[in-house]
Amino acid sequence: MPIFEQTYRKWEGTLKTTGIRWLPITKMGIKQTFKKKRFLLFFIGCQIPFLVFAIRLIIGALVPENIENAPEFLKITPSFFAHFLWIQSSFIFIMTIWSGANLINGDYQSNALQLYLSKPLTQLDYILGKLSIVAFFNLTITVVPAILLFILRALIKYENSWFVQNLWVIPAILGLSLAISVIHSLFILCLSAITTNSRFSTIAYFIILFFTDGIADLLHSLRRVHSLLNISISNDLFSLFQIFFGKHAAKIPGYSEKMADPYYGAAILIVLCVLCYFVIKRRVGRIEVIQ
Amino acid sequence: MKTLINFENVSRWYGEVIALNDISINIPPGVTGLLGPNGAGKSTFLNLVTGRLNPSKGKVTVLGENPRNNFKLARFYGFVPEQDAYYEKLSGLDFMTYMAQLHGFERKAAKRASMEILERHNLLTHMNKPVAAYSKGMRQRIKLAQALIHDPEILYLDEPMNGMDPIGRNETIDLVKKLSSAGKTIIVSSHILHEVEAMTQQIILMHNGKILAEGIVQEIRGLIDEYPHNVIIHTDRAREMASQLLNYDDVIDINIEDKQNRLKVQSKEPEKFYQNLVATIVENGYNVTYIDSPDDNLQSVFKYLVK
Amino acid sequence: MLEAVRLSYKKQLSISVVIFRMTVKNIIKTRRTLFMFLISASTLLVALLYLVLRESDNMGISGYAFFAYIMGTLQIRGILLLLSVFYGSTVFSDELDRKTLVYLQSRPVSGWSLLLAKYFSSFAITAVLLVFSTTAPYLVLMAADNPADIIKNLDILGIDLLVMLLGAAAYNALMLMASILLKKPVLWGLTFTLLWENTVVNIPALINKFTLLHWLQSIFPHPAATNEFLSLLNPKPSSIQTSITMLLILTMIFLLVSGFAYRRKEFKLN
Repeated sequence: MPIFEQTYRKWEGTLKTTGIRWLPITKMGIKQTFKKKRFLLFFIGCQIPFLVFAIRLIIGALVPENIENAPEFLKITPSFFAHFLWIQSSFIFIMTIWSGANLINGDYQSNALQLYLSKPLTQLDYILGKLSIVAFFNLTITVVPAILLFILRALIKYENSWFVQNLWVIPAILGLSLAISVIHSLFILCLSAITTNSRFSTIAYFIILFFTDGIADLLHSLRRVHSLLNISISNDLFSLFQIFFGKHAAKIPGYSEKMADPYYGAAILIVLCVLCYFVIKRRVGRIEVIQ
Repeated sequence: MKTLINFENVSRWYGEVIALNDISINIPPGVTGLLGPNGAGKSTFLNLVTGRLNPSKGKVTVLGENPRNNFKLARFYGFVPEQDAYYEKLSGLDFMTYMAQLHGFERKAAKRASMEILERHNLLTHMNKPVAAYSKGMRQRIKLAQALIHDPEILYLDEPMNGMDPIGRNETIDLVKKLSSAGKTIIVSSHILHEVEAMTQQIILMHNGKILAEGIVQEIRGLIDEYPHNVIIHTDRAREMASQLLNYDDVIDINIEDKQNRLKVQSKEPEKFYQNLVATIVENGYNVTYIDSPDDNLQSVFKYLVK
Repeated sequence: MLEAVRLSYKKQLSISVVIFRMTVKNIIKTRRTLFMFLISASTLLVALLYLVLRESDNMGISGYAFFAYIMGTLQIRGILLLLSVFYGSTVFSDELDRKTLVYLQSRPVSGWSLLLAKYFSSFAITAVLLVFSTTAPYLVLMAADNPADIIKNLDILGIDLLVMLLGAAAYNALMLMASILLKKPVLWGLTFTLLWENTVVNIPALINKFTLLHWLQSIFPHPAATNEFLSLLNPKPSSIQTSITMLLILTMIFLLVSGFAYRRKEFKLN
């Protein structure tokens, strides 16, 4: 029987660099977040609209099309999926805070940022790793159930014409979900990078999203100019629905209140994202210099 | 002996984890070292004496009172936490003044007392700098200062020398000895065995929530029969001395290294052995250049009991 | 030995004042307070915008009506809630996050003194910001119609300030309680204020009395903003005397629960 020397042995394998260096950050972040029981309950709760919409879809698919005066809500059109994503986007606020408010400022507090940046990771890797944690959770409550609903519709009542006519809905779902998830994720990460206090990043996130809504409404009441509604970040996010789903977004309840200019809104969001990215990069970069 | 801190059949658990398991102990005045590996229950012990936790079973008393929710008791003790805790924006002087005012000092008296104590801890020149800008060692010193500003009867020190340079450590050891001779009761929780040994010989050794040993280090060592006492002797007539020592019934084993004129003796009764050794050396005129007991110290006690 | 320690109420009060002053000083010095000040100043900003636009357009809305609109939308349903949630939770949670609670607990400071000092510091900051965000647009918008209206409508301003102060008192007490009992007090506080309060207050019958906003709106002299659907529900307000009493009682209850929770809770060192 061989006797092994109980000392430190050098690793004789090869160190492989994966294409996605930041993936371990994402995996660990997701694992840590799922460990919290309350979060798990909330996550499960976020899937309830999927069940409701699935039931609606099943009933809708089973109702014969030639029935007169069939209720509008049973018709499975692209606006069905837009409406589902609209409902889910209201959960995204809390999901984003729960998974993201403490991501970077937690690393400040525990001095973990130096540990990350002392590994063969760039600042971009760090940011992408953190961003993808929040984006992952947001996507699991948007794109995953929405695509599942689409597949369910196709499975329950496969019609070639419906499928071909509505195939564009899949990239629309993907694009919209990705856009909303990334915007929220960048936003909360930026706030998390600016302050060491996660409570402040939570409040600031809420203020900027909801408060700007109130300001926009007030100003709109003074002067009925549509572009004033673009001051509201929530309205700008809604404009993404108009871009990806076009006229079908008009059927989302409450649509008429949110008619800000969609392309103006999208431009504001792009500028915001770029600004957030540069703020995060700057804040993370500062830690590397020991003051 | 007067008891200031008393634990009576105290247990504390967190869910299914028992942090302290039926501890009964009286802590007398003087310096007591609280030792143990991670997870031994030292933090729980300190949390209980400072009233931060309630025992799940049993009774804790400090100065005859239950420390839980007993803010009056805080007048009589000072606590140096292990955590690096500070108000970022406050300067050293502002922080100390605040701490003093919380003890009921008037503002001017608080400021005066703060400056005095900052001077004693070599922090006067940095008193206007924010505590966040202090080095780790300086923050440790200011934590000690805030615990002493109201001249307490009892001091709880949780890893007090973390991050300190050697000069700072020596100064802290001297301070602890000085406070002890002034009649204070001090509990020092630490992993740095030689530093605890420098401060006190009175220890409580904990492991897995239980007290393994309590008392003077040498006495505890003498009671550990499982590990005989090792003594190293350097003498020119090593073999001859060895044959003499073998006659004694407490000597279990002798290892002779001729070339170094060295004997390594194992004895199960160290006190008896030393008496016999002295007699042997005197009677036979041996030229002994070195005697040492490498495991008559805290490190060995720790190692043997916590294995 | 302990009997000889006479910690008089006067001494405890002076220690509470020390904690109050230090907490306020620590909070005011931060960038977060600057941000919150800017949020409070949004009412003034909107009022100034009104003045600017009023010059160029023929505005169909008077200064007073616009003031009422700002109060009903931005102030009572936005700024009051956000400031209270933030400061109400921050004063205690900061001590936990920084681990400096250990210093306060190893001092001869009773739990009640500590909590009341913390409560009054968050209330004071919230109140100052709310007074500013109520009074500043009032002065601008009343002067826009007719400077004499500033004096004429002082009673309205007085009631608005009373509502803000009562609201700040109640919400800050609620958030102090949340910060002791819960791990994520801000998240729960925002969920409670923005979801529960803003929705349930519009439901008629007994259930709307389970919101602080109902009692505040019963005293509020301006119509509260709500959407068309919810306005159909038309819940009835309570009397002013009952509302003030309920708000004070609820504040006391939240503070008492905070105190008892603090005594029972174990804030252990890790």
